[in-house]
Amino acid sequence: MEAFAEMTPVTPADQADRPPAAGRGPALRRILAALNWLRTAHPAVLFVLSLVCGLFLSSVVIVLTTSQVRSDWGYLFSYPGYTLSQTFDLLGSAYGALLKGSIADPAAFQRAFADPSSAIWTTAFTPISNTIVDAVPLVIAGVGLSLAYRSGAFNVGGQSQLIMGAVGASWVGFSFAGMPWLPHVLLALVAGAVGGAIAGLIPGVLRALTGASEVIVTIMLNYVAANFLTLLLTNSFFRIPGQGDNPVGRLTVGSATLGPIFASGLEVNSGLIVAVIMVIFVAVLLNRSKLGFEFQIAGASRAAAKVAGIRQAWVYIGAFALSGAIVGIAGGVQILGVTQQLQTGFGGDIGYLAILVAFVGANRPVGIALAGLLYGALESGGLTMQFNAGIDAQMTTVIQSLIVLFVTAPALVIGIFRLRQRGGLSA
Amino acid sequence: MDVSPAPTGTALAAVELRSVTKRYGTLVANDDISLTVRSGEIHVLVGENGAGKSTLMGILSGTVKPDEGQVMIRGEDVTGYSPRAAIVKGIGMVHQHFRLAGAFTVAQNIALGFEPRGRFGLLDSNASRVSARTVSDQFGLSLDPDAVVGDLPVGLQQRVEIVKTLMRDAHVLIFDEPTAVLTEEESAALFTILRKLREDGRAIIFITHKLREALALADTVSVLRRGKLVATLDPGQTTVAELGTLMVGRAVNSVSQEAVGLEAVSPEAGRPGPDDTGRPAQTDIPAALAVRDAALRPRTLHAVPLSGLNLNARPGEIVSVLGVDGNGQQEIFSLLTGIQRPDEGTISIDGRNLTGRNSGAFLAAGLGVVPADRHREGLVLPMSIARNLVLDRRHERRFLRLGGLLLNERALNAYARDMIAKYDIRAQRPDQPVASLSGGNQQKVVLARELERDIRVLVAAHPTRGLDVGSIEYVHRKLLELRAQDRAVIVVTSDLDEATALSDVIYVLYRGAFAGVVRPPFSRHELGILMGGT
Repeated sequence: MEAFAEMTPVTPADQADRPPAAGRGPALRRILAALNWLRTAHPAVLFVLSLVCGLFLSSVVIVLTTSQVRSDWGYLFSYPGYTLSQTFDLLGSAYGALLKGSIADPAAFQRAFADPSSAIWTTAFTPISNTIVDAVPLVIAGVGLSLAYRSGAFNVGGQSQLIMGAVGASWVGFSFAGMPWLPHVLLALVAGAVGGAIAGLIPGVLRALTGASEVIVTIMLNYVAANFLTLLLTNSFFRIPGQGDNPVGRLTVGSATLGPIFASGLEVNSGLIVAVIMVIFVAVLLNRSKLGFEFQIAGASRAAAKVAGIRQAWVYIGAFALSGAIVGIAGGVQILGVTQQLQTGFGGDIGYLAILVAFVGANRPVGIALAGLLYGALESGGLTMQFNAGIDAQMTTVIQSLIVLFVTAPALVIGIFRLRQRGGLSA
Repeated sequence: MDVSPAPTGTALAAVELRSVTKRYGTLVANDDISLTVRSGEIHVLVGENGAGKSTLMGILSGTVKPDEGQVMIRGEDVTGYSPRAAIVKGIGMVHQHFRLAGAFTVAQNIALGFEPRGRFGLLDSNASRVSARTVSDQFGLSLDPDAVVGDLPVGLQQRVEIVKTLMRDAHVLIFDEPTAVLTEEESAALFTILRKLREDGRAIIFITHKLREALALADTVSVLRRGKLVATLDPGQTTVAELGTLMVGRAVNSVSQEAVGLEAVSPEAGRPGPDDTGRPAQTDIPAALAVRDAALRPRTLHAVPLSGLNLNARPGEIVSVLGVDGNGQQEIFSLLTGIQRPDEGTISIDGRNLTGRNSGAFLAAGLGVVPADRHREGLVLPMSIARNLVLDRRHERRFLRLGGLLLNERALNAYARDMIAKYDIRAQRPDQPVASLSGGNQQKVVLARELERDIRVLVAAHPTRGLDVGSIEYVHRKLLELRAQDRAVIVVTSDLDEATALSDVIYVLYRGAFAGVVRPPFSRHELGILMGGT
């Protein structure tokens, strides 16, 4: 504030050659105002600072878990320079590898410019392609879950809806050989949506009719769905014969595959298009549609919804069905685009990570798309980090969790950086 | 006044604000305000909603940092201090919405935050009980330390808040609209307490809308209007009318004069039977909303059971359901609006039996609803003004496109701009969150929404609670306009002045049943007796 006051003498000279009506100050003042804005608790500022905090804490964990550097810290007082350089080397190689594995390796681009051939360009773009492949199911499932969260339904059953969606999509995907490509893919995705919707309807209907806690029911259904999948894979209808003890499902036929977008061998597939469509769909549904309006009234204030004649029971059922359907599409995209077949343990922890993605993205479709990319990058960069820096790929899970920790605790970040609360209500 | 004048001269001001200014964007919430409050003085601050009272109190209690000016406490410059520092410096705040833990006892609530410790650092609950009793007895607050706060009436809960601030040795006590939630007896008891605190040499800042109350209590009255301090007066030298004029910037008929626009609408207002519009006697007209022998069993722990309710609201009639809070107002409101189904009896609108249908069916049948708690029930605070204006009108084709799938943003915003102009809602943009409006303007959003619908009956619960004089007059005028348009209006209220000023008939609610149905001329005495249940 004092620095600001010292700047004011500049103003009159500057304003002399401006029409007095122009309300803007000089450029310097605008820059100061922009810097000032960075110190307010704007959501974007908060997000970036949460990221910084998460990465800082992760650095501490990396140092603590790397025995060589940990022993170097024994020399902190005798050779402080050595200790610090060892530490920064470690962190630099860890985060550098993470970036190389998830976005791009500058060296690969140098080679590609020096010797432009399709194969070398493909290598250069492989990391970002892998990131997108990992991000696609997270984004779709994330926007699906956010729909429930914005409606006041706490859907933690992403995993069950993902699995049921994958079962539906796979079923259609390995059947109906001979259908043309687009109709077959769409049919498979619809089947995925139906599978996910069924898994979502169970907690939704139970909540609406009996008041059963949707949190407990969805958590339990995650186990049920995983075991249901294992059960299906004992059945010869789903299971591919002749794989010994390894229960895997039948392969999706070519006409139902979400194939690669580029012919060059990059893995990024047309699931990306589905993800973009789903983000737009959910954004329109939430912000522009009557149904989304009703869902959000119920989500924001149950009492106001009652007075406005919105039936809470139908909101639960509808939000859960729609949310489940979209998460089911994520499962379908994963089957048709990546794994091509069902297997035990399908989906890994996509259904759970998507909850984090929804939170980090502040339950807003565009935010979720960005958060999904971030989490996809951490997923795909983890292995490179393990190879290049010798840090366990599990470390990415720690980073993912720490970021969520800070994102969901804005008061903590505001306190650490002493941000100002945004000026809010009058009087 | 029955107290000797406050000490003046050598004593330092307990609180002094010097040219305090606070801006939010383009809005100047506090504009160059200078104010002095001495120890042993009750300083009453009056102003409309949005006049900047809450910002000023925020600056005093440390939650708001002023952009310019100084805050002095006993001569010490404390500008921009934190809420915690404010407490240390002796500022105590009694909020309009109490900050109490309902499941805890009085003693626990009072100790909360600085609990006395016994051996091994464990809580010494006996010490907190003793100190709670000591402090409350010292000021004649008579509180039972073991009573569970959630079970206490509002007036006693407020005393717990007062004792909390006294325990922290506050020498400046700020009361934010303390009487808004109190009955008349409770208010009188509060005033006695405030005078005791004054005698004890504490400085008291008292924020209110009620001008009569301000004059009865104050040693000094200050008036805020649109962020500016427009006057600081000696209550002996001014009148309710002058204060009201200063507050709204124009002459008003305050509610206390019970004249609010009645003459303007119908000279014979409040008289049943034929009037100069040639209307037939109202008893011959079928009721727009009729309740027959309705009963409602309590659904929650503290709900009041309703029994044997019969009520008729005819077109062109304002019916008040009047009672002291906690006699079933909330329950009868939820019954009339279809939020709860009666266990016995029937409810019909325009002769259509709607018993057992949900609130959506009631709305569709032509019911307008102004809920008591506009924050929880009437509005969705984070949503825009435009969205809030159509909360229960979202089915109407004019606000939709693509066969009813999508909201028509352009129509919504255009409509919101119309409503902002028509209902004089003080807002910058239609897409501004309704949370950013002041209380009176929020209520205008609710009213605009309900009155613009094609309704047959309006049910309004405490429609003017927490509003300033200007807004109250506005709301009452709107209700009378509705009556003049041959709509039925049911006002559920605990405000005797409001009921007598507006109503054609008053149903007095006592313990979940109608103790009496009263027609004009109303006798405050008779109504008071019925409300008291004797």
